Amino acid sequence: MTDATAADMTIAAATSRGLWGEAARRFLNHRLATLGLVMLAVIVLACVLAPLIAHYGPNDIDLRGRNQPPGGIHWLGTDGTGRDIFARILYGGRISLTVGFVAVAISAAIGIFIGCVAGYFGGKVDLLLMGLIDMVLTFPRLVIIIAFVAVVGPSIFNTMVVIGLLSWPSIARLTRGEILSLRNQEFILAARSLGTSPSTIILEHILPNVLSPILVAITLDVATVILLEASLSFLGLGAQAPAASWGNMLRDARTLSILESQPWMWMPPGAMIAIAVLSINFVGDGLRDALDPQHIMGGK
Amino acid sequence: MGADMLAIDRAARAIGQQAVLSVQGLSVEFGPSGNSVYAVNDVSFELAEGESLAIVGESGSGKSVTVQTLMGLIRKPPGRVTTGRALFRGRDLLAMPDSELRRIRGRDIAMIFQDPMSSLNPVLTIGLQLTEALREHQGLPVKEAERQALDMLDLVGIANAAQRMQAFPHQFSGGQLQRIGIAMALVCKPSILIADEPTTALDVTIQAQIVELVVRLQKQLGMAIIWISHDLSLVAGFVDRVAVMYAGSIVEQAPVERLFAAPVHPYTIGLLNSIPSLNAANTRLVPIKGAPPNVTLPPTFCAFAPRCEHTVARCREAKPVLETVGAGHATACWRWRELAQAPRMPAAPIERVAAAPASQAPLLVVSGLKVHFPIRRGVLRRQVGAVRAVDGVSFEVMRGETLALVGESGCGKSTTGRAVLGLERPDEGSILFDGKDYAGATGDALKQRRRDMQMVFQNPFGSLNPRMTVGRIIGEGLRAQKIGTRASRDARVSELLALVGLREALRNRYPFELSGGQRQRVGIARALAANPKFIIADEPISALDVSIQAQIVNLLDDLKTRLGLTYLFVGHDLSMIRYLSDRVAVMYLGRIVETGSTNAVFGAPLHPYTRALLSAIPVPDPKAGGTRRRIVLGGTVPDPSRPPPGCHFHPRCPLATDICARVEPQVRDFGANGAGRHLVACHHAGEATP
Amino acid sequence: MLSYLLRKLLLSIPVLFGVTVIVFAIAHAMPGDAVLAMITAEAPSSEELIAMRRGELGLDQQVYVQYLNWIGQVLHGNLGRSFVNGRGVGDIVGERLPMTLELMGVALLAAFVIGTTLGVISALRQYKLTDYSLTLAGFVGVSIPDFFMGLLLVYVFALELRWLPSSGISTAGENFSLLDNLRHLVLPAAALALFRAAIFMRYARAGMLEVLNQSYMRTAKAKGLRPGTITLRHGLRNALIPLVTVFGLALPTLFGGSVVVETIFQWPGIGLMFIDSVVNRDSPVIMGYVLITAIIVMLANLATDLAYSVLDPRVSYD
Repeated sequence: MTDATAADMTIAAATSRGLWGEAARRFLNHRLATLGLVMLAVIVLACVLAPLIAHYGPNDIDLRGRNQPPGGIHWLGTDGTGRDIFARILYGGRISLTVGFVAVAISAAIGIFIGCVAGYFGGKVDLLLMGLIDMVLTFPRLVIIIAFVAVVGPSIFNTMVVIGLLSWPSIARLTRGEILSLRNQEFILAARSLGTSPSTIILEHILPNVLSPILVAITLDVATVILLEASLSFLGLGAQAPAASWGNMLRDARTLSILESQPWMWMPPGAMIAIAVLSINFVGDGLRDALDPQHIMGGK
Repeated sequence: MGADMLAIDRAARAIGQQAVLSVQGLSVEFGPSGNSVYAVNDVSFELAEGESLAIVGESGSGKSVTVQTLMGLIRKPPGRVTTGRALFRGRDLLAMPDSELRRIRGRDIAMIFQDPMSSLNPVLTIGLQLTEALREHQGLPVKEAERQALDMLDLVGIANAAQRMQAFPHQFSGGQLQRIGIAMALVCKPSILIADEPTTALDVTIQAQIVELVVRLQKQLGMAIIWISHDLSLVAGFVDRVAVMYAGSIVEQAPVERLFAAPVHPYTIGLLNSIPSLNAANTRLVPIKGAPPNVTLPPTFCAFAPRCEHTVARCREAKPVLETVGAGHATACWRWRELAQAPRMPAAPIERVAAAPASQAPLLVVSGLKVHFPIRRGVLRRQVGAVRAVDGVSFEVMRGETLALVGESGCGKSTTGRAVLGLERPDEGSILFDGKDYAGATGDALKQRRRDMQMVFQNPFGSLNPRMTVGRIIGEGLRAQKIGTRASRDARVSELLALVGLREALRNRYPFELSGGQRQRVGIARALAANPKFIIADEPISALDVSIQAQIVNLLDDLKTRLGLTYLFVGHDLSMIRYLSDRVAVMYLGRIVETGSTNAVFGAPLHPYTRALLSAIPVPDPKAGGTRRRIVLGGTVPDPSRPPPGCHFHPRCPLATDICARVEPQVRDFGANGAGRHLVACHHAGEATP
Repeated sequence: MLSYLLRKLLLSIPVLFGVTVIVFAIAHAMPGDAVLAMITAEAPSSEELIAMRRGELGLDQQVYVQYLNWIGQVLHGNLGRSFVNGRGVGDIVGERLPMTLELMGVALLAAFVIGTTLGVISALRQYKLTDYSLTLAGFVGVSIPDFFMGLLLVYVFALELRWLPSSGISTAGENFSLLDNLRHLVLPAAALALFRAAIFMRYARAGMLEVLNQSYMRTAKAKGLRPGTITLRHGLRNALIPLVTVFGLALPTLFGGSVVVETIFQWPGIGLMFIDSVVNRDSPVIMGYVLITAIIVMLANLATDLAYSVLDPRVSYD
């Protein structure tokens, strides 16, 4: 009995791209996602290569050129102490982006681990961990982070660690939920009935299938954390002067005169936050579409 | 001859009458032009006043899109009507603005849908949903609308209608919801009712209730019906005419008796051959080869050509149009004339290869099996009860036989299958496999059992890990059991691919690249990898198209003979079960009510539930309608957490007496000497049904 | 239903216990204590005096005893006294909470109404220019941080156009009037609301799109109902249900946002109080603030569950 059919032949005609090839194709077809990826790449590169791009260091003071509007030798002008805004944005971006990526890496590691444990073992362990998650989620995130920073003192390192240590519950909850819904899938039953061991089931069947929604959540979390860090720094509880971060560059704008008459000091860093976050959100949205399991789960 | 004449007569009368609906050359595409899905291609049909027409086709045949287009229900975009007219009493439904069509929808043409649960709004009371069409179209005041809605609920057989008007959809069973859906469609007394697979989501006994209801209401209200279905057997019993659709086109239409007696299109013939007939269980099914069509190609050729036994060059070059075959009978096939001369069947019926006679030694003995799922309620989540999914089940499976476990949804048949394999932990009972008790097996004992026993799952989409290649899926059991070396496992996977009829090239594909039938073959190959003796097949064909079902059933049949397998087949499609099983066990609400050889159970059922179930099976024979006695059961299956006392079936049983409500019936053997055992659990087994 | 609520309340007891432990731990770990704060305020000090004062306040006891003392006080409604001005924390919060609730309430309501409306419109116009523009605007909305939005609003509407005041809750030196208060409210509320409106819009759009694909919508259309009736009665009602969750999730972020926005606009609510207390290491006020926000969030979560059961008859909770 052979199975040479129309559907079969069309499958044979198209070369198999595999799962990741298919996902990459869908991602690149997503115009905003591609745009986001390009913008993000430009921002990251510019920040990494800051010394090559900017003519000034972030803390170089141009005594004759304080409060300079954009133009001339200072592309985006200078601040009240004569520091080059453009340079500070590039170097500040290093801090903002690093905090974003490192804090999310910490929270993702904790969140995925706790989510897997709760989801797979269930029962009392699950109850306990869910209680812990509820507890942490009861605190408004920015509020509890501020309270912790008040204890350990403000610094970039502390900001990163505190955000990382307090941001895992949403990822843990997502991971757990995904695992619970997967546990009832027939292919997990099939694996159990074939005698596949629990560790193999987790590694081969569960993790690859929960990875895509988690990846999407992690990406979007980077955006959220960049916003959090910016808020903290704006409040004076994140990166400390003289170091620049996008958030603390807006601190000067708390003075109405600067806010009104020297917008070049606060608008560019604010815009950079928005652009970086926007690009990451575009990428996250594209990933969501590209990794949507419905494309490969089939069904009608 | 009599029947044929009658049919032609009836068709002629129908045509002579004024057509209430006339669809002419309808084509519908989805998606951007140039990258379209050609869902409906040049479809034409007429519907006379009071007539009932069935449109039959498999998934993707365009049958639902056709009727939804008439109602203006397809979303545009992505849908587009490219050509055609649909005249309702002379007015073109497709040309009028939506505001005008809206006044026809629900008032003159009403519709009922497939899944009664999802087609009712979950957050609105059924009272509101029933009255809103009346208020919209007839401007009735609330009180009057409610009165008429109540009358309609009574008419469709909803008890306590007045109180239930305030209830929400989730408070009803599926069968009741479909009755409500029908009431909702009929409140404005439409002249056409479109029924879009209204029974597909329902159990067979409930399906029988709904069909009976619709037929009765059609007579009472004198409306015309278009009944959309994938099931030729179902519509055979009650429609006047049938139109068969394939890949968006009508390939044949005829009066119902004529279509079954003298089909001419190869697809119609193929469909009829792939349905097991209740009378000829020993003829092998003749499946249609291949998989459902690809509707992304422009309809410039006969879409059935890739699967047809009679394809010639012309079939691939041009699309045939409907030609008249006889009175009311038309087909779209280039070769129908030549083929009609030739013998109707492609070959003489093939005798089913008789499997080696089943031995009398049981391979599996299940006794007193109980699986209960706890229900926790209240502040402290205390266990307040249990869903008695399996409540004391005993059966044997002999070496080399196929035992079918049948019953309606929720009867516990799947849970029983899973418990046998150790996927559910039994609360009580023993499971002897090859003489060893495995009921509470863990660790190595369980592992050994899983070498000998495997499962084929129902859902061809959910049962394969979407992120594994076909090769890895099939080889999973070998890796799990650490059988052989990497090279020998690879070789075994190739062997298995060939065994289930898949090309080697599919080894590196992912499930999403496969058709439903191919996926199910992968599932079968996976189960066979470690050379098991015993296969539990949990509804392995119910998610597949009719023409593919026969392929899979034949494959299972071949494998059984070739590999000397024993099957426990869990299913609800009784005609398939009759075809492929040696013995049958009928389950109702967690218990087995009747067990016996397939011939005995189907030929002379003794339990009143079995009788009702069998009488509800649709038969692919329009003439059987008059002679068969239908026992339509009232009510629905009770909640398995609170089964009725005594015999679980007594509240719905036509034979029930006092004792049935008090005493659980013992299993008694009614087997004739030499014909094997025929076990029935009923106080009134074998008594004539009133 | 009642049993479900009881169960929820019971389950929130251990969570609440954990919350108080965390709050206490933060305060305990904070450098400086009440005595040091007072001593620095009072004049000359000696080690003996410090020890004596600590003894009076029970600060020389075991940590858990201190915790029990504190929780006992909290249960009696006593949140301690501010190190900075010696006033009762409860009094300060009681005075300032209404301002914050006014700000948050108006912002949340505006965000919900605007966001949901635009989201539904966007879904109904899927694949059209309106949808693309709104979706893009939504992306931008969730990418602009509260404080930058606040600064932009002040720059444009208070400094450039001079339409609205830039800070405070009322004009200094004038008698308090509601209209004046509302004028002051517009910008901070908008700063908080726009971000959340974008979030509501995205969820409302997704929810509505999902609902539009449901078969009951097809049934409603097949009955010949008017498009408006279909959208509002059959669609919106169902699309709103998942938004309840978004509502519940938005509340905690509003507390965070209000801290920032109150700082920019010098809005004298508890957010501004919190930031001041962090700067001054005024741990009783910090504890009081964190505890109260946590309790409000908890109550909001309970209310979310309740709202679910009201909106969705399928939820039976037993």
